[in-house]
Amino acid sequence: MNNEPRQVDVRPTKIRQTLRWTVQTLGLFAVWFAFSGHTEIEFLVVGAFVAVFGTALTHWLFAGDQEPRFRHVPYPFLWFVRGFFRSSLYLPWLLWEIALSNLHVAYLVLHPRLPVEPNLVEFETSLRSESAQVLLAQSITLTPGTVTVDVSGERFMVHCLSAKSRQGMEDGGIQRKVAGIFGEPAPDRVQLTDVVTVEQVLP
Amino acid sequence: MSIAGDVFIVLGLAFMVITALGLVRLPDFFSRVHAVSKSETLGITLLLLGLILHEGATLLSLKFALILVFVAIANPVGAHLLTRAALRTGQMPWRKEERG
Repeated sequence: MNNEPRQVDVRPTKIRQTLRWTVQTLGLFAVWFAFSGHTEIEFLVVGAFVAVFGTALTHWLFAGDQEPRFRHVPYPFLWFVRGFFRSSLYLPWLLWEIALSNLHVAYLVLHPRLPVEPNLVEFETSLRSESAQVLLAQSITLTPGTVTVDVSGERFMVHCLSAKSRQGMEDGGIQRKVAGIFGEPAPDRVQLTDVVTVEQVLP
Repeated sequence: MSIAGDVFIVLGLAFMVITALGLVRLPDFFSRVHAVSKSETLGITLLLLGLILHEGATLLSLKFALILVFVAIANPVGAHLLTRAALRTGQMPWRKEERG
């Protein structure tokens, strides 16, 4: 099976851009309607205005973003179902991790001697696709005890609150899970480098 | 159902109190971001789950669930931006060895 999806050029054409505007505006309006629950004309007019404004704002903010954002895959539907299935396995696991490490941080804070060992580490991820890296960075930050401080290319800089959370980064459990979702090769072990001096941060 | 909701709400509040305590006790900016931006994740999750249990399957519950999703997305982004800004302006994390 070919696991290497080919990048295709999907820079916004006129039609694509119009479609994006329409879908996003309608989506925002639907959310507005769900939240307000009013059918009076005043509310709908304000909602429509806000939806258009929100769409315009995001397009203005991401105007320079012309990266190809869809990948060509042989069987899009199967690919989607597989991705959905894998994510639905990932989410409960992530929630469980969040709960566990929350308890860990609570323990650290409540302990009379405050047994924290903060340290800043850097590592190189084996994940290649941008979405996978974003998910990794978000997951690392969501699990307390670790915050993604900076990402440049494949290098992740992570602040760990205790020796235990540092150990968790070294094991690379999150990276393996994320790699599983995106069908990328998973790392066995993560090589951490300590970041101690300012020179290591600001080149 | 409403008792289960109460239990969730009280647990959530307890986590938020621990968060506030962490803000006072932890040694530097970076570790405080840990406490504030994320122990809060579990706190607000439990709190909103409690409210959903109280409310049952209504539109209001859907709104609570949406709030949960927004918090889950916005929280890590905020924490990431705060720490990155601190690091780029020359803040270095506190380390244990330096205490003695």
